[in-house]
Amino acid sequence: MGESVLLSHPHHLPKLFSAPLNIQHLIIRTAVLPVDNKEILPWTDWTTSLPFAAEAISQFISSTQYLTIIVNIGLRTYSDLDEIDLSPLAILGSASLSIPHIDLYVDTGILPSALTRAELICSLEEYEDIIRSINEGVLVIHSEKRILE
Amino acid sequence: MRVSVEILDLIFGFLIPHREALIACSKDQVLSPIVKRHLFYHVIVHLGSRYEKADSMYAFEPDCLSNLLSEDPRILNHIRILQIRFQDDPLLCIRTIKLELDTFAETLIKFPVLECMILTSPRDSDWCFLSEAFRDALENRLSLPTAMEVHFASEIVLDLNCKNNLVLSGYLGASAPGQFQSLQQFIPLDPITTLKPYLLHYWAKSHIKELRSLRCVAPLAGGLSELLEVCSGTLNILDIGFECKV
Repeated sequence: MGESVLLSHPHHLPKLFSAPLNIQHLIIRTAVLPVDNKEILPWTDWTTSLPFAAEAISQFISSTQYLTIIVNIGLRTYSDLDEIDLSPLAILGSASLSIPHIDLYVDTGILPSALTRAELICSLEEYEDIIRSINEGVLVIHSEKRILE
Repeated sequence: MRVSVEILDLIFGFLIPHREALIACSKDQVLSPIVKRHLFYHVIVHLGSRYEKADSMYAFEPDCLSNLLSEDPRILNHIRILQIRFQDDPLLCIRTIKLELDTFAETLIKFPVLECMILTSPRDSDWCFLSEAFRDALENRLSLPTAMEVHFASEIVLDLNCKNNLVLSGYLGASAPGQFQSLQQFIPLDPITTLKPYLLHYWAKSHIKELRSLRCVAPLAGGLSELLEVCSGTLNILDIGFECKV
């Protein structure tokens, strides 16, 4: 994680729904962006909505048939990716036990997409459920940018 | 070498962002019918005050558009996206707005294959002054079999009753109690953080039936729950964006 500080929202996500739902396709868009404070601090702070996205996914696990998650990371340099806390994506492991198909798209803006995919798998390999779901074809990490209207 | 109409049509489709090129090609008698299909695909009508760049082959004042359509009625079949825009003019009075809308209603009713309508105004209140004639014309065109989308760049303040599977976007305002039935997709433009849950619930309950797809942003302060409750029976696609806060 280097010398980074991850900023996130100080409170939890409220309950998103109470009525029974059957969502065929849930799309979650989320981002990790650098905070512009280089003049004050020698390291980069990051602001992230990944924990909220993870919490939303956990709420929808039993009501979703197909999940697409799109993560936009505003990298400034190639080495920045090491500083990003991607651990909220571990939720995809348990989600893959209930959701038949999950597509994950991560775009860094500067890294070649295949390299981003390789780095991502490397960061998530400590989570057994994630690796299992990738091997079973339930979770697909894409190396091309997802464009959704 | 002869190039087929289909290939020319594809080529001119690529030229849509380059209007000057399309305008130049439209002056050729042979190419003109193919080019006009692309040139008039998206037309903007400026109401209110005089628009400096009007009549630029895609942005018109209402009377100029009416004249053009009278000269060449085939253009009506090319217009798929119609954007109606009020110019920001603090001196614009209600009477002028109503009069312009009334006049334009006669033209609006002639568009046979509209797919998308975009209504923009710098002031939400402008749409509150809709004349009955304009509202009827708008409702009529939104009920066309071709109509798919209606977007408000301000508050959705129309009390329309549309029965199409429309895509609707806009800001939720103190709307009159019309109802959008069988909405294909609803895109509230307000950050949900600024919406009071009870207002969203009230709006959704009185305006939406059979919602199939919802796209919204940052439901951090609540409100989404109320909306989902209203459309839980029909919602198939849910698209949520989580923004970063610094």
